[in-house]
Amino acid sequence: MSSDLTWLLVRSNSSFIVKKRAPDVILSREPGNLLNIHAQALSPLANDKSIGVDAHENGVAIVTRDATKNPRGVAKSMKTVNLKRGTSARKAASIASNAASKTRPDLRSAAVARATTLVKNTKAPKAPKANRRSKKASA
Amino acid sequence: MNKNKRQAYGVFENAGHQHSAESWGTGRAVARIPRIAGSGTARAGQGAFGNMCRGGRMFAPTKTFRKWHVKINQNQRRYAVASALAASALPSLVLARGHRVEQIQEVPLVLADSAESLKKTKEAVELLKTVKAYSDIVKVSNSRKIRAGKGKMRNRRHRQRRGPLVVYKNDEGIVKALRNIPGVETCPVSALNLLQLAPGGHVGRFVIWTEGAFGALDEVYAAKSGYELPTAKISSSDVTRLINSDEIQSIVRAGGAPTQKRPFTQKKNPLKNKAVLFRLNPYAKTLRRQELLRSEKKGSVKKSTPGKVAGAEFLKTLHAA
Repeated sequence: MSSDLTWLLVRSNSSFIVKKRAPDVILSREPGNLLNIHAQALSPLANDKSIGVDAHENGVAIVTRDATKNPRGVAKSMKTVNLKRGTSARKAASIASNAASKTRPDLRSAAVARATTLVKNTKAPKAPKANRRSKKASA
Repeated sequence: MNKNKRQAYGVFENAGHQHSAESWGTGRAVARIPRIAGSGTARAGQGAFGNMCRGGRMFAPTKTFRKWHVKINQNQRRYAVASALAASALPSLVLARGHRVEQIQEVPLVLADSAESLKKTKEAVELLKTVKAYSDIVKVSNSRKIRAGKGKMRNRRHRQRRGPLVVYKNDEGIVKALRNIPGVETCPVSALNLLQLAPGGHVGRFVIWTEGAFGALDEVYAAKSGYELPTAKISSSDVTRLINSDEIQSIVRAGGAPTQKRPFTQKKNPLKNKAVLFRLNPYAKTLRRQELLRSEKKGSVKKSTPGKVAGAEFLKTLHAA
């Protein structure tokens, strides 16, 4: 079935819709929706090809999906690249950028932005350097 | 739709009528509603029976012999079942319905025929886990809540999500094996049920087929005499791809150069601005030209030589008066 028709069906009725801020903006909980906004271009349900950047407990995963060959595939049409915890934001951005330009070039900047933000936010905070003065002051 | 699975309910037949009340008739300066006889209690002399009376029966008391179903024409029902089946084979719609099927390989999910002869629930659970369909059942299990309202006492105590629907051809134990797994429903392929295929009117139920059941679909529909499956008006509904195909693109004319519209310039008034007027109405130019010519011609006729100036003597007499 065409993705346009799928969007018409999914637009009004989907378990992922979040209308808390409607009518300003309708949000979406779909995994793989880069901006979490309920829109045809962003919805992985309404597109044969999609790219998702999601955080999980071991870091960030970049999931690309291509259902053009097999429209019935679910896990079959997905490819996941797990980024290790130490991956730098710059490296993550380049991986996301490459993955996006192969699947959804129009969403490249969104994928890069999401990957960078997620990597930055999943990083463990650095321990503050011990201040020499504080030691002196307490003594 | 057949909704006869619900337990029939209605108010007690005699409710509000268990009095020997009679109307006092006219002339007592009170309404003619039947009134409770006797004296000694506050109830005596109060109105009875009517739906507006305290302790009276309700308006149009509900009966158990009600129409609990809504009739739908057979052809429409079959159309709906076929559509719901088609929708259950689209991952987007199954996901949009809320089924947890991200991990399964494909929809529709088809199991080997050996699944039909499963006897034990434990084995069935094991099978569902190997095909990654168990997360949908976990979702169902977590969603179980006690129903609000009277439904609690009418065999609808709990409400929970719907899990997968397992369609089989021959029951060799699969029904009993799956019976105690929350949210899982079973259905023979010969009696597909719209209420199960599109619960709540939402298509995209997660359907698990056995190989035999999936193969039997053709003969099930062939057996419905005089019924033709709904077909799409166009074989490929992807219109964008059709338009961009070589066959179409080789025939259509090439698009012209893009014209730039300048919507945000100031709008000129054609009544005042002649250039704009002539652009809008080229004939206005001819009109204008003719008008100018005419006025020029008229002017030439009227042009008269200035007369003699009045003499000083004449003016003197004129002003003297």
